[in-house]
Amino acid sequence: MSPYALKRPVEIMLVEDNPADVRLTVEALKEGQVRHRMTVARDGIEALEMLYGRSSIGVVPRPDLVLLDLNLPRKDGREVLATIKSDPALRSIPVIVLTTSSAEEDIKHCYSLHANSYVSKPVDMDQFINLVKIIDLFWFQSAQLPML
Amino acid sequence: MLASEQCTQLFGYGVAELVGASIDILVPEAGRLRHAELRQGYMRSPRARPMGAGLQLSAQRKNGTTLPVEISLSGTEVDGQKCVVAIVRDVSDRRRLEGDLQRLVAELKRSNEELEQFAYIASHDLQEPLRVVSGYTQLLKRRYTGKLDSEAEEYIDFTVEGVKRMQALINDLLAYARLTTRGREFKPTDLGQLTKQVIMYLAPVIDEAKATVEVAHLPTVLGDASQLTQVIQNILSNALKFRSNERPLCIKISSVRKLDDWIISVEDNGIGIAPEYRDRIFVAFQRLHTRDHYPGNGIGLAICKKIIERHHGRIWVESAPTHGTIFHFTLPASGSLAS
Repeated sequence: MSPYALKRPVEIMLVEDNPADVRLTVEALKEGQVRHRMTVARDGIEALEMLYGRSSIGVVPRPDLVLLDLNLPRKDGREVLATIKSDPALRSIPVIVLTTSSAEEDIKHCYSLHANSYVSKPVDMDQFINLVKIIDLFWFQSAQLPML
Repeated sequence: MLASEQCTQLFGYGVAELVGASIDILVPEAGRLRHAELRQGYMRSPRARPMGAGLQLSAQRKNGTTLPVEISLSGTEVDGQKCVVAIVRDVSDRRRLEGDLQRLVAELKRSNEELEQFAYIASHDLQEPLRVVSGYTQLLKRRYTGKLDSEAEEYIDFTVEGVKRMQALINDLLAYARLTTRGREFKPTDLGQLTKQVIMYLAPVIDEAKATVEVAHLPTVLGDASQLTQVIQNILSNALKFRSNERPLCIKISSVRKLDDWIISVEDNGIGIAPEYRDRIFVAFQRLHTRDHYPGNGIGLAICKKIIERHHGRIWVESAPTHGTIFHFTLPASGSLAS
């Protein structure tokens, strides 16, 4: 069932280390009018701590969707993806890899780790806003997601 | 042994020391036993030939030092006695040059690879901060248009434009760097088929320009199909872009076999290129026109050149300004399947 059907904002976890990028995604979501609540993890370790409820910032809601950057300090996005997708308790959370890299090796590797999709960050802001709308339209308004 | 004057100089022995001595004293100690055996074998059927073909031979001087040599052997008779004439040539200089050359080639190869890697990393990593700059200036424009004075809005527009240009340049640089790092294996490629596809892809532009494109027989060659597609597409796109407004555009694509090469030619009747620019057009980011007249970054022909060179061919241009341009490029016919 989609979160919108439940009449609550969607829970998005953004895993991204660069504050300028975080803010840009926040603004794109705002411009795209996606009703959401966002949790930001600044590296791979923080992301996994939040997902396992061991975060020092307290209990974080289980995300409806993870937006995952690949190049992160401490534990990179590939490791985070591998951990999520190998854990039966977490693997049903859709993970969208959102990164600057358009390297074939990265795309191949992420799909082999069961990424739900791989998206290159558009350089153009209008395209980025559009992308955020498409993600919202597909994952939250079209796709059926499992009940938690 | 009999020995010439030069021989005494080369080995540091006096004539008296060499004449009558065994040739083995000129062979490095480690090889002497083996040399004696080979010598007996040769004496059974002496014929003119180089010694130790494919081997790097050394000889030993009186003072024990060795020198690289080449030796030619031939059998003869002196006063009814069977002899072998050995002509020994000191090849130290050549060996040293060969070594230098090998080192240079290795060094050049390494620095070339490094440069390609550098261009790739630079263009890839430059995109990250640029995306941030571009994102925020565009956001500024979205949110503040109408709320700032006209000067501020102009500044924002210039920034957005500049960022867009830089993005395009970085993308082109990345595409250029990838030509080598992402090049695919060469396979038989039908240039006729490939050209047909390019024309189909460009059909809207061709129609809009009311241009005609004539394609004669084109061969099948060994190459990277996706890269050769880029070459044809870039050259055709240029012909379309730089067409004359005085006559309808006509493009002719043909091929001719010349010795071991195919020469592919793309001829148009467009605005042409002045002779002084004929080499410059193949250099990355060189443009002959202002952006207002003809958009583009000037990467197309640089990409063509790099691709053709990767295929062991050449590319050049022939042009009569105001009459048209012919681009020629060669591709080796060695892998060619069609006649």
